[in-house]
Amino acid sequence: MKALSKICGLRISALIVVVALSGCTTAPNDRFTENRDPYENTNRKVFAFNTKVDDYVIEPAAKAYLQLPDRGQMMLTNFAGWTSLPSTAVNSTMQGDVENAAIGTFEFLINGLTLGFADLTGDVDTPRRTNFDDTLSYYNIGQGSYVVLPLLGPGTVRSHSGFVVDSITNPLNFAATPAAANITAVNTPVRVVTFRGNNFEYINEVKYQSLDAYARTRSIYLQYDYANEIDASENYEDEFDSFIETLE
Amino acid sequence: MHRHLHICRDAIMRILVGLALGFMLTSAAYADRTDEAAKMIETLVAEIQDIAATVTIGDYIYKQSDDIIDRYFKYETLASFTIGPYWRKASDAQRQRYLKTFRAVVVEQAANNFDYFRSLEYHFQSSEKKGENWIIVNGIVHDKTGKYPDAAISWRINDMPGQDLYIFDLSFENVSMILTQKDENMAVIRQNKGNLDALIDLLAKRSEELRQARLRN
Repeated sequence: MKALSKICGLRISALIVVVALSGCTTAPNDRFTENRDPYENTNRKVFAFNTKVDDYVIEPAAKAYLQLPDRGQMMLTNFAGWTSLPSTAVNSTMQGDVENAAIGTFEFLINGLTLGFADLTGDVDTPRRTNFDDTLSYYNIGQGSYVVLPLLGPGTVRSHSGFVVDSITNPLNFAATPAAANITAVNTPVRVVTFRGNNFEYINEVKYQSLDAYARTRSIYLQYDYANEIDASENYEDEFDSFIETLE
Repeated sequence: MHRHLHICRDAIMRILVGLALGFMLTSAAYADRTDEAAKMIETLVAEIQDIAATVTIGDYIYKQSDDIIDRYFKYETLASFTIGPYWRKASDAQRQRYLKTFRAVVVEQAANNFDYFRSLEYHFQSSEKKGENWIIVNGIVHDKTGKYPDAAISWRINDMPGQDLYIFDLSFENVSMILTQKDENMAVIRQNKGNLDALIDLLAKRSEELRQARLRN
């Protein structure tokens, strides 16, 4: 029965991805954020909702995380990184990077001795973290429109689709042990809280000190995302050059 | 025949000398200023760290930040970039008001963040020409407290022949400060149906909040 529901989950996720990715080709891959955000009105409402969730749940949880001793914070951050290693291995394989997949698997197995709370491998052969979003990028699938989803936050059609696929296809989901089920259950909340805590001041600066926190978040997200795309920086060059040429 | 050869040799020599002179003149016009740009950034960073290490009085830090903007940036050019096409549409009065309020926010933000500069170290990595108009100086920012991981930093320097170098932009981990500011400003204007005054009012409010915060510290 469990296996059947997993298969159903996979089919649903595949369907979501196919539907979502059909939108990836429609939005232009340019930097101009307004063009990338055709659902701005809806996105702003979802952003406002997420900000409330952050006010009442995530920011207080991140504050509590920051009250932990350094060692405790490190253990939770290690755990969050460890749970993503199976996805790194799977996606590295799909990207043809077998060596990275092997390093990811090795690190997952070794650190698994402590359930990921300790980093036993240190800095030796650290795998390049990758996910299904990167895999789609590897196969030249465009990012699609900018979309803010409830609880998941800002992203593009492609990155959100990638997140759904990574969540469902993570090999931890298929391990039929109570420990694996517990890890899966706490995985996302731990990742959210450690991310928020590890970037506490940056995020608070955007949240509390912006003229328009939505626009600032969108700009930062899209610029950061573009940095990972081939030739994306050339979009910036055009914008800078055309401005400077008007001054001449 | 002999005379013919002489004329031919003279002509070739003249062409070669002409080409050499032309090459030298072009090289002078497009002199490589990548080292100068890197040096400028190192001087700026040293100056900031000097101020951060020795001064704690808010008003003095504000004045120093204001002075740094004049010496290393071309403020009016940067400010006009941050509102895109709305700069051309703005009246003179609006432009003056925008320049004043935007500057107040930038300087207050810099003055409020001076504490943060105290724990930072800058390590130069490379300086390279990008296109005709720019030099990019790359470095790493290292937080001595270990609180933050190392971050890649890039300075975009305007390099127009015959003009002084000036800083146009600063990027952290490929996120450009000036593009972020421009996107935010433009979004505020658009949300207010193209009204530049709405942005200026918001900036005035923000600079006052930052000033109060600086005075409290």
